Amino acid sequence: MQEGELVCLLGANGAGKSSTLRAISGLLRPTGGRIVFAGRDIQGREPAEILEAGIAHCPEGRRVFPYLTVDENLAMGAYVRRDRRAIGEDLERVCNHFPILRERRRQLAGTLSGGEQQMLAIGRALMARPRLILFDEPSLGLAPTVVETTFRIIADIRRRGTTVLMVEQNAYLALRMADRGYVMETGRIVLTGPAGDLLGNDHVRRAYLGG
Amino acid sequence: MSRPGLRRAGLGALVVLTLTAPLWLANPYYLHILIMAGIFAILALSLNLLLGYTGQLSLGHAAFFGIGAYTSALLTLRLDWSVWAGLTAGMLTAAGAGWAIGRLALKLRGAYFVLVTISFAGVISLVSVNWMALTNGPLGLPGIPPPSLGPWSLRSKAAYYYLVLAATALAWLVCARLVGSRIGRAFVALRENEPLAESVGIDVTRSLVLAAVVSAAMAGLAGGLYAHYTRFVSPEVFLFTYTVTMVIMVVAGGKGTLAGPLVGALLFTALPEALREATSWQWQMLTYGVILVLLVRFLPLGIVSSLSAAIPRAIDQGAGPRALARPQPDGTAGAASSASRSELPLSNRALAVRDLAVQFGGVSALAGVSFDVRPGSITSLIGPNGAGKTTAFNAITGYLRVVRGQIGYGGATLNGLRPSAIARLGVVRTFQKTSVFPALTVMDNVMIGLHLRGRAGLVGVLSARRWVRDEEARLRTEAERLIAFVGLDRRRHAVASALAYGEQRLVELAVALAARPALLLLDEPAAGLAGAERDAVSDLVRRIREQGIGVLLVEHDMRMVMGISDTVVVLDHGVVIAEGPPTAIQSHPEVVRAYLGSAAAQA
Repeated sequence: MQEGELVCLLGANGAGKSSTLRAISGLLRPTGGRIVFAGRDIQGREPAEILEAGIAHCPEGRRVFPYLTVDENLAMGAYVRRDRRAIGEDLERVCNHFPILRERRRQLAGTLSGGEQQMLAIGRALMARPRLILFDEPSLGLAPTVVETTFRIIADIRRRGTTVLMVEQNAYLALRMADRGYVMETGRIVLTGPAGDLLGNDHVRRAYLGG
Repeated sequence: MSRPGLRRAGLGALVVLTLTAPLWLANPYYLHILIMAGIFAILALSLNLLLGYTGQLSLGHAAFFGIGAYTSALLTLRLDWSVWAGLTAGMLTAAGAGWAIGRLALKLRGAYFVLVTISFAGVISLVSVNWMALTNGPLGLPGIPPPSLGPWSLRSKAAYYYLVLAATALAWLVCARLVGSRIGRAFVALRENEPLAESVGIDVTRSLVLAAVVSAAMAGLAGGLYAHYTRFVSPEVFLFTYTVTMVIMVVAGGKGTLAGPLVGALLFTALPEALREATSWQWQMLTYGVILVLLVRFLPLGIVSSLSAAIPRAIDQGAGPRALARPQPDGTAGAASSASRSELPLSNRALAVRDLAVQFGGVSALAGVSFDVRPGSITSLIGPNGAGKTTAFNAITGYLRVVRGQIGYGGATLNGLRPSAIARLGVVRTFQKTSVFPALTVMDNVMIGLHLRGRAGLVGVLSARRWVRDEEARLRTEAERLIAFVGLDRRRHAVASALAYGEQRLVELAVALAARPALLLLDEPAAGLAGAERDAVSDLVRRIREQGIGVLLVEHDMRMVMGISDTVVVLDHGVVIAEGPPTAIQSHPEVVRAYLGSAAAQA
């Protein structure tokens, strides 16, 4: 991936998309191969080290700290940062993206609805102000209007210079905004190309776009 | 020799060695250690039933042990009962205490259960010290008679060894039969995921009380055997160190396994004795501690679990995009015929929600919601995030208290019923956050889902009746059919936590279907699935409807919702803002504003 690119990873269940993201962010230890980020080998390093290097991971399935408040969850996203003022600005920006989070600042994250937790998870990843952000199913469980907002936010993040690698089942929306895409099947990449080409590809159409 | 062959030969050698131990163990001291190991093995097996299978830690097991010891001792000493009657009475008394503790701990889990059991052991111990007239206080009860069998006294160590060996084998058999039955599966289900267990009809209270009773009875038996072996009991039997030793045996041996407690009991009975011979007393406890720490560090799952995990197994190959097979017609037919076996005709089984209100603190999550789900139809519940969709699910299925309103289902009222009771009536739900039994295979997940379709009770399971075995085989066939129905046949033996997110959602669906729903509530079944897989799920849901099952669906995939729903209900801020057929909803101005947005056109 080039700096500033938005790349999406497609594939069926169990194809290895989430595992790929987890290997990059250090949550999984790869058994072979290299992962190079900004000229440095990062495979097999601790997740905290990788986050400090500038890679944030927004895992799938609404992972939040249920017994911390919304504010505290967002603060956890900025855990490795020292620039207090900029953290404040980012907090403001996240709350502007998802106004519902501002309303619920002091509520425990576990009491939010599923979709609200997903917004919080995205917000928390943004709080790390990463150079590369990994999104795993950002639109999972979000209402259609919020899905639109979320994709707008991702486009916005990328416009500000953050590189984005995204796994998304809503392949149509994902490919429309991506630069390039990779298609994975049973643990390997079987197809790659500019997003526009993939949108027109018969196989992709049949398997991932649905009808 | 093949691996199973080797295994069988090893086991055979072990059995022969165990059976002939008194012949080749010249030193009676070694035989004594083996007898104590046997008694501790029964204790460890009993603790393992609670800790390893239901996941509840009892730190009061010494109390059940002591109750068994004192009961049998007192009955044989004071009332001249035979030892066999005394042992039985000790078991039954301990079982009664277990029942009481189980009931007390009804609502208490985890740390609170631990506290209740510790306090219980403390109280019993104090009674044994202070009720001088009955227990002779700290002086203890000497002269307890040894058992005899007809004209033969079992006074010798060799004879007692065989008695303890038989009792250990019996305890092991009880555990093995329980664990392999629907009762044992219910225990494990509670350990792995209590809300999900309840949703398929497992009665939490009943299962936990049953586990406590059986476990306490076994500990009571061990206590009786101990009393008639040492022929002396004192309040020392209640010592906390006994309980700690039991926990060490179970955890280091391998909790949740059948062999673990046996290995742990043998090792941790023999180890202190071996150390006593090998080193001076200053080093004994230190060495014991170091060995324990090393064991926990390098075999964190326990000896047995770690060793069996180290043996590589054939792993199911990954499922390709086409693994989600189209449902097979024969599977459908089978599920349909079993669904129609419910007592009420399906046509009467409609869900009627009237004026439903739920509050969290002062916030009202649902403020008077009414809708219906007819049998054989799909009703979708849509709305913005936080509108109250999942809250409605939780209220209907008994996971939340309702402030106001009526939930009627086929003539019954669901208000105030527990989730397992609601599941028994045929109302089964799935969860928004993926909810499976993570440490179990797909097959075992679905077997737990089939809980209500089995009838085997404690007596049937322990006596291994033919009909119980037949039922087990039938359930297994049914589970395989359900797994094939959702398209996971190639993943049958994979552990659920190792599956991809979307595959776990299919496991959930299979578990819910296994509970034989007449009304199925699905919370975002297609979340995390790719296009073609979503179509397959839509297809599945349609087939479920064809079987006459009513479906209430929460889903954000509008193509799916609009494609398969008969009725769509739109929630916003806890009230219904629209209701009608999909076509009407799609163009409903308020729905478009609050929920669909411009994406409606693309979807």
